Amino acid sequence: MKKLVQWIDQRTGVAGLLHEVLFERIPGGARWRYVWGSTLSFCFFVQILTGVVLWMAYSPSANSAWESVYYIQHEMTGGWFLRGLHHYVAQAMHVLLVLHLLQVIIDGAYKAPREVNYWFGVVLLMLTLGLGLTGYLLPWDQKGFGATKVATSLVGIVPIIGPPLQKLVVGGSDYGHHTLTRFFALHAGVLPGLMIAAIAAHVALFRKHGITAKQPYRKPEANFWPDQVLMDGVACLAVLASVVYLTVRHHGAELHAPADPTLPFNAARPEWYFLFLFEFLKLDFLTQWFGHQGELVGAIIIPGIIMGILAGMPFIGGWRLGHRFNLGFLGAVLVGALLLTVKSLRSDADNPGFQAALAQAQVDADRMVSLIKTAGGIPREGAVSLLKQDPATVGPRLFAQHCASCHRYGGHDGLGLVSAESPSAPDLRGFGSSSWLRGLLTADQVTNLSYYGGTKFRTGKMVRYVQEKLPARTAKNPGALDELIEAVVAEADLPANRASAGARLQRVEAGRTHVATTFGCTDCHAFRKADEDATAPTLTGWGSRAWMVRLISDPTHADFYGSRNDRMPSYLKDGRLTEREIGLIVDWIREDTAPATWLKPVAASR
Amino acid sequence: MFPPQHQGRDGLASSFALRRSGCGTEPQPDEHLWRNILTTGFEPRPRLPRLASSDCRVRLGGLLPDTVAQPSPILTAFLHFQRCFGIERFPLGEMPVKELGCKDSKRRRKSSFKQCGSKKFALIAGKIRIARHRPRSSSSSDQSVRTPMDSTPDSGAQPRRRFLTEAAAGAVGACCAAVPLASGLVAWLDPLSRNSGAGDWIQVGGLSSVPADGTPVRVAVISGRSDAWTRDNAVPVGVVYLRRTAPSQVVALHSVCPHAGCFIDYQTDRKAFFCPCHDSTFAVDGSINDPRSPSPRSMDTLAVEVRGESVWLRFQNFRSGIAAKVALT
Repeated sequence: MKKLVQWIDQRTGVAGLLHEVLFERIPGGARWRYVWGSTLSFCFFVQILTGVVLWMAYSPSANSAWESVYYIQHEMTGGWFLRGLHHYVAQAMHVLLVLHLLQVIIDGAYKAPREVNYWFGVVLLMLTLGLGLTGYLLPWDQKGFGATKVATSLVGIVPIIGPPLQKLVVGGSDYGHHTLTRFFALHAGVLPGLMIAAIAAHVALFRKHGITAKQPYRKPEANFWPDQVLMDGVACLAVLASVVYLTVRHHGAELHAPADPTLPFNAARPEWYFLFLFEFLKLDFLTQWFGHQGELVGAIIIPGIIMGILAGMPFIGGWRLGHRFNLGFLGAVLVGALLLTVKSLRSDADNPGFQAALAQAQVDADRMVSLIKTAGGIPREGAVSLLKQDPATVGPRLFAQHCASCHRYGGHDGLGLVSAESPSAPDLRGFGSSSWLRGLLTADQVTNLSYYGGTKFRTGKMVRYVQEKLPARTAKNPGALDELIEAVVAEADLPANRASAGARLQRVEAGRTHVATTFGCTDCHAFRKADEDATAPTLTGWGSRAWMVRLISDPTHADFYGSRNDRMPSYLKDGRLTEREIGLIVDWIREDTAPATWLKPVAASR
Repeated sequence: MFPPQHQGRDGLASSFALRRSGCGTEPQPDEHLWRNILTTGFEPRPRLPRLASSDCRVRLGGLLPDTVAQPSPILTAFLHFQRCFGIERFPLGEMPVKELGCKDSKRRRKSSFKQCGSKKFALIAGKIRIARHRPRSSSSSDQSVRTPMDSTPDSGAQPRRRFLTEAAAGAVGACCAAVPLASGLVAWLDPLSRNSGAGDWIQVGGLSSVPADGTPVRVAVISGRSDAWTRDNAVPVGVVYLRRTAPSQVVALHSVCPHAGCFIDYQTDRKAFFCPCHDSTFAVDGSINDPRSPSPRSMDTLAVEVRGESVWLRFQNFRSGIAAKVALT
C-alpha cells in the first residue's frame, strides 16, 4: 500500500498537492470566523453532485419539464430528498454568501493586495444569484413560471438593448421549449462552468496571499489541517443538518401545479432571496421621482450602483474612513434588504387575496398529484391537459371569474376569497342537495343573502309561498316536506347521493305525488311532464347536470326564468363561456369531480 | 550541496540555498525576519523554496534535514523568557535556525533525499518549523531527530489531542460528503428497482388476418405503455410475426434477433427470416437454418391464445446474446 502511494506520488506529486492543500498556514490559529469559504465550497460540491443526478432525470421541454420533475419528486426512490437537498442548499448558499461577504468586509480582507480575489468573490456572488434565478424556472411550475416571467420582463425595460436581450433570454417572444433549454444550459452548463473557474481563481489567489488573519492572534500559528478543517467540517455539518431538517420537514422542495399561462396564478413571488428586490420595485418613491422610468431605476440602475460600489470597495477602503464607509454601506444595504423582505412577507401575510391564492396553489398541486396517481401516469400532451379537464381545478376559477360577482360558494368566491360586497344571488355550495333545498323552503332562510335575499325574487311569489303557504301545508301533513325534498333532490342525481338512491326510491315516489298535490308546486313549476303554463323554472331534472348547464347557458329560456329573469346573463348564448366550461363549473358545483377517464384499458388492435 | 536545478520559486530561495550550501561556514540567522516577528507579532509570509527534482521537493512544511541545529543561546534564552511570562508571541513550534548542523555535505544530501517522504520538520527560509503532523507514514525513520520543542513538558499530550482532532475532522468530513453522495446514489440506482410490467395479454388482431398456408404475417403489438412519467394508452410496443400452424393454432415469433437485437425481416421469396446484421437466416418456424448463424438460440416465441376469432399474446422482450431465453423485466 505504502509502495503504491509512493509510486503514484512520484509520478503525480499528488501527496505534495494534498500537502499543500492541507498545510496552509493560519497565523493566530484556527478560528470559527474563517469557516464561511469552506461551507460555500461544500455547498457547491453538494450542488454539483445532486445537480448531476437531477440532470439525469430532468427533461428540459415545456411538455416534459414539469412531468420529469414530478417523476423525481413523487416516483423516484429518494428523489424528493435529492431535489430537496438541491433546493435548500441553494438557499443556504445565499445566506452563507452574505455571511462570507460580511466577514471579508469586516476583517478588511478585500484590501490590497487581495482586490482581485475580492472581485472574484463578487463575481461568484452574481453567479450564485444567476444560478438561483435560472434554477427557479426549471420545474416549469406555476410559481417558477410566474416569477421568471417577472424577472425576464425586467430585462426588457433596459433601454435599447432590453427588448432583443429579453428575446434572447426567453428564446423567442413567448415562453416555451427554448426558454427551458436556454435556462437549463445556463443553469447546468455555463454558470457552473464559470463558477468552477471563478472558484479556482478565488482559491488560488487566497492561497497566494494567505488568510487575512484576525488580529490579535489568540493562539500560536497552526496549519489548516486539522484544527481549521475540524471547524470547517463542523460548520459544514451544521449547514447540512439545517438543510436536511428543512428537506425532511417540507418533504423536499415544493412543486406547484404545472405552468399554464391561461390560468390566473396570483401566488407568484420570486424566491425569498429576491423578495427584497421585488418589494423595492413596489416602493412609491420610484414612480414619484422617476415616473415611468421608476422600474428601470429600481430594477437596473440602483442595483447596478450598489454592485458597482460593492466592486469598488477595495479602492474605497484605501481612503481615509473608507473602510468605515464600506462597513456602513454594506450594513445599510443588508438591513435595507432585510427590512424590505420583512415588509414583503408581512404585506403578503396581511393580503387575503394572496393567502387564498397560496392555498389554492397548494390545492392545485395536491390535486395534480392525485389526478396523475388515479390516471396511472401523465398523458403525452402533458400534465396540464389533465388539470385543464378537471372540474375541481377549473370549475372554481371559472366561477370566481364569471359567477362570483353575484353568487357565492360557501360564502367565498370559489377560490377562498371573501368579498366585501354582499352577494346578489344564491350561494351555490351544495346546490342540488337536500340541505340546500331545505334551507330554501324555510321561511326565515329564503330571504337570506344565501338564497333570494339579494335578488328581485326577494319579494317574488316563491318567497311569499314559502313564508305564507308552506308552513300551513307542512303542518297538515308532517313528513310530506321531507318526501318532497327527497323527490326534488332525486332529480338532481348528485354523485354523492347515487350510492343510497335505491334505498330512497319509495320516499322519492311518495314525494313526487306531493309535488303536485300537497304542496301545489306544479301551479307554477313544471315537474316530470311538459307544462305550457309553467311560469317558474322547471323542476324536471332540477339540479341535474343537464338542467344546470341549460340554465347557465340561457336562463331566459322559457323552461327557466323566461322574461322574468333577474340579472343572470345567458352565458352560452352571449358567448361568455363555452359549453365545456359551463360543464366544468357545473361538475364542480355538483362535486362531480372524478378525474377525466382518459385512461381506459385498451383492447389493442392492429 | 544541492544540485543546481534546485531553484526556488522566488528570490528568497536563493538565500535559502546559499544558507544550505554554506554548511561548514557560519550562516547568519535572519535577524531582520526575527526582529519583525518579535516586535510586531506579524510574520511575513514565508516564501517556500521548491526543489525541482522529481525525487524530492521542498513543500509547505518542507524539507527536513536529518540533523537539526540547536538554536542559538540568545534564542533559547528568549524562548525561556517567553515561557516564563506566558507570552508566546511568535507561533509555538517555530524557531529560528542559527545554523544547519550538517557535518558532511555529501551524507546530508543523501539522507535528505531518503527522508523527504516522512518529514517532521520544515526548513523555511531561515527557520525550522516543527511540523507536528505526520503527513504520510506513521513509521517514520527519523524518530531519533529531536528538536527543542519536542522536549517541552506537554509534548506527551500533544499527539493525542492532535490525533483526536484529526480523527474528528476526518469523521465530520466523511459525514458531510456521505449524505449528498448517498442521496445521489440512491436516486441514480432507482431504475434497478423498477420492472417493465410487460406480460399482459394483448389482442393483436383477428385470426382471419393470419394466412392459412403458414406464411408469417408481420403484426404491430399495440398496448398501453408507461415510459417514466408518460402513460400512453395505445402505442406500438413491438412487432411480432404470426404464423398459423393449424386452423385455429397460431405461433408468434418475436421480431428482435436473439443475437444482437437487430430487426428480423421476413423474405417471402426465400421463405425465411432474414437478419440483416450478420446476413443470417432463420427457418419459417424460427429455428436456426444457417450453419454460420451467430445467433445463440432460435427466434423467441411468445405465448399465444386464440380466443374465438381473435389472437391474443403476452408480449415480452428477451435478453439477447445468450443461449437461454430470459425475459427482460
